[in-house]
Amino acid sequence: MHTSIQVENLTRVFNRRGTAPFHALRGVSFDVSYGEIFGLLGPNGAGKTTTIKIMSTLLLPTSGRVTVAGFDVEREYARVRPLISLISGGETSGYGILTVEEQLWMFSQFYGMETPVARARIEEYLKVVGMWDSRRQQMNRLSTGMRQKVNLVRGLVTDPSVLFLDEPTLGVDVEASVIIRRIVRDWVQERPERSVILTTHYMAEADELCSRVAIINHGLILANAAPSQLKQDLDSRAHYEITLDRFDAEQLDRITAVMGEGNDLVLGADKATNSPMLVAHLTHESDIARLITALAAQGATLEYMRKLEPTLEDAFLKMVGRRFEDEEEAASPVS
Amino acid sequence: MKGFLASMYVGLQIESNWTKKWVWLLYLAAYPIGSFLAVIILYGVFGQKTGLLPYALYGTIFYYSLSMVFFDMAFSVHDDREHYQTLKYIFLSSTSYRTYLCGRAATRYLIALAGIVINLCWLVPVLHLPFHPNWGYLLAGAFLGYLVAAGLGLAMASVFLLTIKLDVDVVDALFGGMFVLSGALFPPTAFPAVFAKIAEFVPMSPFIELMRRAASGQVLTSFLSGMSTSQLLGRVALSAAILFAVGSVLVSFGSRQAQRKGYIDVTTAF
Ligand SMILES: Nc1ncnc2c1ncn2[C@@H]1O[C@H](COP(=O)(O)OP(=O)(O)OP(=O)(O)O)[C@@H](O)[C@H]1O
Ligand SMILES: [Mg+2]
Repeated sequence: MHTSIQVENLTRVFNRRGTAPFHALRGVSFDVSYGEIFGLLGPNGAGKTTTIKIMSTLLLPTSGRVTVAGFDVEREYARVRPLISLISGGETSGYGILTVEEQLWMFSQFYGMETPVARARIEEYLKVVGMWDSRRQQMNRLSTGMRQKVNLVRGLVTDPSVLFLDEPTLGVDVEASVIIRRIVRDWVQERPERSVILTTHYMAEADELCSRVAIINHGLILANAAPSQLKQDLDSRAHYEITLDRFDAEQLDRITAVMGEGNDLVLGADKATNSPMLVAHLTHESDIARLITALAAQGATLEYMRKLEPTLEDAFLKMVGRRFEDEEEAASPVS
Repeated sequence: MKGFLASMYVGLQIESNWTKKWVWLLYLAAYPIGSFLAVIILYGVFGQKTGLLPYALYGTIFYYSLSMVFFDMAFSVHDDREHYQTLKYIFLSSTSYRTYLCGRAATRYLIALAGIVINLCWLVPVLHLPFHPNWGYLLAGAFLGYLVAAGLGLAMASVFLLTIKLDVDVVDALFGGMFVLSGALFPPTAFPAVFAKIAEFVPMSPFIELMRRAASGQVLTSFLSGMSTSQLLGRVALSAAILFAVGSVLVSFGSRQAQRKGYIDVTTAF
């Protein structure tokens, strides 16, 4: 068994009073391997949380099948639950009157853990997130970010194999986000049977953490690949931005002729210095050498040059934007 | 078992953690008084001749031990879901939601019993209540009473799992109705025969009558007087078993249905 999670043709319809049935998921399939951090990306209302809820046995699917470690989430939920933890961001969950320590201990008991083992793990993870000193604080005295860290620790203390993270860094400051991301990455690497499903609106977070991401919109998966692959697929050409001391339209024509078919050059001006700036879109990355030689031959001096890397955000926007256009006529009832 | 104890612990913390321990003990003692006071006034002032004060007072006291539990069950579903937002995490844990609810019910029941004991300490001498306890029956009754309360509580909880808005009026009306019908306050035999018949089958009434007899050492009215105390105990055991079984089935059904509808983590507070 190499797959930790298998999702096959998942659909979910919500019946809302007074409106037509709403199709939140319309046939979602993917699988997640052991050792993987798998990202679910998509705009608001795409169906990410719905998918996570079904995978974590909070919600039943309308049709389709999900297995976690080989167990069916619909029928064998009692086998699935001890193996998983769910951590949702942006909520204020917890018994306000309990201290951090009491709250975490209580949840460990719901998993039948021995108290000394639980205490040791609580100490370990509270130290990792830098909250050991706050262990005697009441939950309702904590800030959003601190609560989110406690929430993460709650999920980790019970030693799950699968971690479901629904926007884990929502409302959390930069430093805490960095800590949370580092913990998640270290955690999954610690043991081979672990895996993580992550949803996020931060593309950089997905790019940094995920070995694969699925882009989902209107309950359908539009793409499922490694972030690097998605960026590459976006555009196979290489892009450069070159600022020069002087350059005119006539020189541009000459150089365009030299570079030949498939390579586009656009002349503009640098926003800050107002120097001429050339944006080059090259079919082959290696053509950059020819371009620089040609520029030198024209007597232009390079002031600054950088390669424009496509981001996951570009890939995301292009894919989601395209789908929006496709669907304009067949507009499904959105809430 | 660990889950059960942890649930009792949460219940206790939620109940008591808002104040110092001694203030809480005082509160524990004072809390039930409100419900007894009305009975004392009602019978003490208007119905002195009837001699029904012990009947009504014991009835109210032991009804209180049950009603506290199922009131609490209804609210705990709602509060865990909306207020603490922990319901989904409890649901997803290795402990079944039924076990969790039983733990919460146990805490509430023990707190109610503690309140009763404290209050009996002054009610008995001050009001000259008959008090010749049969400890065996009292203990057995108290244990079975837990099952009755938990069974009804589970049934309550399953309803509230599937109700998004907590309608307090409905809960109040329900408890008020059961209060009257269970013969806690008036002997149902004082009403037309139909009511007396209904009252016999209200699930709490045998428990309440058993506790009355076990505490006072007397058969106070003709209600259920056809039964010996040991028969009554059997009857309570039977109703406890049935209620607990029905409650368990309902909560499994309610959980599944809530899972289907997506009600386990809904919040209405925006
Ligand atoms: N219980 C429900 N009843 C009715 N509709 C629902 C319910 N839960 C979700 N939906 C609808 O299903 C769609 C998908 O919701 P979901 O929460 O999965 O989106 P998401 O991808 O997590 O979005 P976000 O990025 O905003 O968190 C939304 O249009 C939402 O309105
Ligand atoms: Mg979401």
